[in-house]
Amino acid sequence: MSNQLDERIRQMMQQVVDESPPPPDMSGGMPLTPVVDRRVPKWAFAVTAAVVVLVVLGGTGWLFGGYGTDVVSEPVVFDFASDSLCEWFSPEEIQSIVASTYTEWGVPLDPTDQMQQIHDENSDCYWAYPVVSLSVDESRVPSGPFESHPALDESVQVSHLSDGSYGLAFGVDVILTVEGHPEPLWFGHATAVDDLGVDIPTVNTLGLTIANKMLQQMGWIDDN
Amino acid sequence: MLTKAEVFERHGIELTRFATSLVRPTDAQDVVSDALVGAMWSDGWGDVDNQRAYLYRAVVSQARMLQRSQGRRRRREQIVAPVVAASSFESGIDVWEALGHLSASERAAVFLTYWEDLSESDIALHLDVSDRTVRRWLVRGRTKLGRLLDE
Repeated sequence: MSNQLDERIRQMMQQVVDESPPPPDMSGGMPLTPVVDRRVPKWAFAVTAAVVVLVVLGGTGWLFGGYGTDVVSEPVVFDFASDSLCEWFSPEEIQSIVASTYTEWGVPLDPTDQMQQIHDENSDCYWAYPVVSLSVDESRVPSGPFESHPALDESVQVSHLSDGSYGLAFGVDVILTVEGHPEPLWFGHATAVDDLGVDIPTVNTLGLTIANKMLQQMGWIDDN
Repeated sequence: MLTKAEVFERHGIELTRFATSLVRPTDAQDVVSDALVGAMWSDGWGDVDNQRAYLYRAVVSQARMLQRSQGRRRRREQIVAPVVAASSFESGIDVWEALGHLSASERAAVFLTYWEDLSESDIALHLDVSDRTVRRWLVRGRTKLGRLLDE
């Protein structure tokens, strides 16, 4: 161990403590927990939809009970102890899954657009599909069984695009519980649609359809 | 048996410092209050043996949820409006930017090791994980910080 590094880290922790605020005021009794506003503003802007973030979450289930979890049956192929979701799917495989799903739904894709893998500071993988102009043929959208899916975790946000326009981004996180696995594994991808008529349940169904295809390739079955 | 107020009195400051190491000062109080409400008002609170450790785990859990939520937002914003990643440090070391490169678990392991002087076994008991997991978090955290501090 480097003593110099250890000392610098201690100094960092000292700064953390120095800048730490006082404890919260709990004197008023049980405070209200923050409510996440998930309403979709109806704006006439380009719409982007982030679809399917596959998350594998393990360990003590109660810690993550409020986040939306799903119990999955025993793995057949993917081994959470040794396999990495960042490496399990090649860009071509993810491309194939996303493209096949969109094609089934009547969504035209630009064949030159490719998935990109993004790593963030938490060692998570995130696949990103370039922002493209799409429209969903809703007559071909299958009725989704996922609207009340317990693994569904929606989030809505507005993003300011670099060209001065606004994008509406909303997405689906699929969270799986793996008993005994202490570390969460992130995996996800995003894409974009500019059809203002696309609603959240539709995008969510699309996202979970893709997630299930990913699970099948991993040898996992969604028990839910 | 301590009352909820007594538990808060006893552990509030250390939990807030711990939360600060996980999520930054601006979010620490919210994380702690959400963690305390979720833990102390749960049905099983009366049966908890080690309340201090239980509350530490609750804070880690809340910190992870906040980090996830913020991470999702950052990723989607990056997709619709890509930005060029700035270099980690221009001059000097920004503690919060450095810690931002660590996961909540890694930050927890680093803080409990370097500030609270807990052993890996004690941290493992605190966070209800194995010693090996704590070691992994600590090694990763030190490695990342070491790399950043050397730049």
